[in-house]
Amino acid sequence: MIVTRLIMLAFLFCLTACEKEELHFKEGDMEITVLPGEQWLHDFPLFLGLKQKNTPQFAIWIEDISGNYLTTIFVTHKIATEGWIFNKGNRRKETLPHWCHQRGVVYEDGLLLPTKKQPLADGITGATPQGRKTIQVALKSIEKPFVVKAEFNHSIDFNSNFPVDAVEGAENYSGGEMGSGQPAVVYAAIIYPDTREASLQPIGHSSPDGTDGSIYENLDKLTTARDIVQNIKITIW
Amino acid sequence: MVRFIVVICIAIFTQNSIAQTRSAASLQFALDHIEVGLEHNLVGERVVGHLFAGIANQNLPGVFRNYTFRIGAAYTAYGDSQNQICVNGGLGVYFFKHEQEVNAVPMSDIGVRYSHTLKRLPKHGGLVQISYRCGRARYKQQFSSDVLDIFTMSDFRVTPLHIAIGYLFKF
Repeated sequence: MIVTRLIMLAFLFCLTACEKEELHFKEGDMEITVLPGEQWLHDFPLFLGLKQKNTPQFAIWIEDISGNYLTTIFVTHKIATEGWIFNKGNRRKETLPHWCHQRGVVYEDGLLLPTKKQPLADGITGATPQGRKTIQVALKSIEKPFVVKAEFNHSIDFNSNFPVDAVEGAENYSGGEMGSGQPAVVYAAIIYPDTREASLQPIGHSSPDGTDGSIYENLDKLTTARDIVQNIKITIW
Repeated sequence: MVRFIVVICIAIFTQNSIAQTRSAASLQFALDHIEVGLEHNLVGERVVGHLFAGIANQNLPGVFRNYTFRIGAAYTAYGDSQNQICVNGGLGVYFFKHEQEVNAVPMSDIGVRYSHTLKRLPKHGGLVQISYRCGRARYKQQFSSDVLDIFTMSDFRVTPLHIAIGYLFKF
């Protein structure tokens, strides 16, 4: 009897878990859709020659038209919760330096990255999706125009301009062997009061080693990093 | 290679060593999962039923805030007085917790376990479990602040490859 009840309970849990929830947009809502590019998945070596396909780290946030940070919309889990495994204490400040500096929150260790003790709220974090990601934003008191920005990066995404053996302190140093390789790419779009659709455009790359929050406009030295994301589309309902 | 694996499997599954009749409790450790289990012979000497409960930390490394329950069965493919190799599988629920709610994710698993009991202390032993687990859910997240509300759909997937080591106590 007890076993039967347990099986029925398990069945009910399974049914509950299979319930479909979807996003329902209202007039004035902003829909942000991230479409993965050809380089969305990137080989990351594990051990004994085994590799795993890693997804990129990214953040999406809003700034006012003067470039002042207003609020974060989404950040991938590893950055938002210090969720790295086997990072040997390396906080990977080169991952999304522009978002970190714009946000400007300094943590216990003096870095601008959220920690395990002080992670970002669950509602704006999540594992990097394997495919398309859609976010619904209901704007309450943010006045248009404003700027939506996004920053994308893969770790160990080295190329000949940002090599693994770059010397610390050099302008192409990106954190060493387990560093970023090619720096994060920053995208932006201005949302005006009459904007209905927009696509974020690349405006530059971040500091390769994460030491500053500047945007470096020349993207010529980047190769695969430019194809991590295909499109970041904004629709105003 | 395939032939070699087939031959090995046939050799293991057709050997005649007698598996031990047993009840046992286990404690298993994986990087993102700690599990206690109970097992007992169900049918004959080779088929064992098992029940597991555990805590897991998959969505926030180091913070064990998820819960798991599994039931299943194991077939003892090879067994002697000290060593056993079991093929096992089961069904369960992974309770994935985040700030706003707990999501129940159905999961299934199939795997192989090697256990070894000590010669001097035959009730005590160690085990290595390798499993492939399936389980995923799509869930809605919400964040509210003074300036905006954010809604997003997120995906949760139980880590497929599960490798655990553990302690086995037979009684």
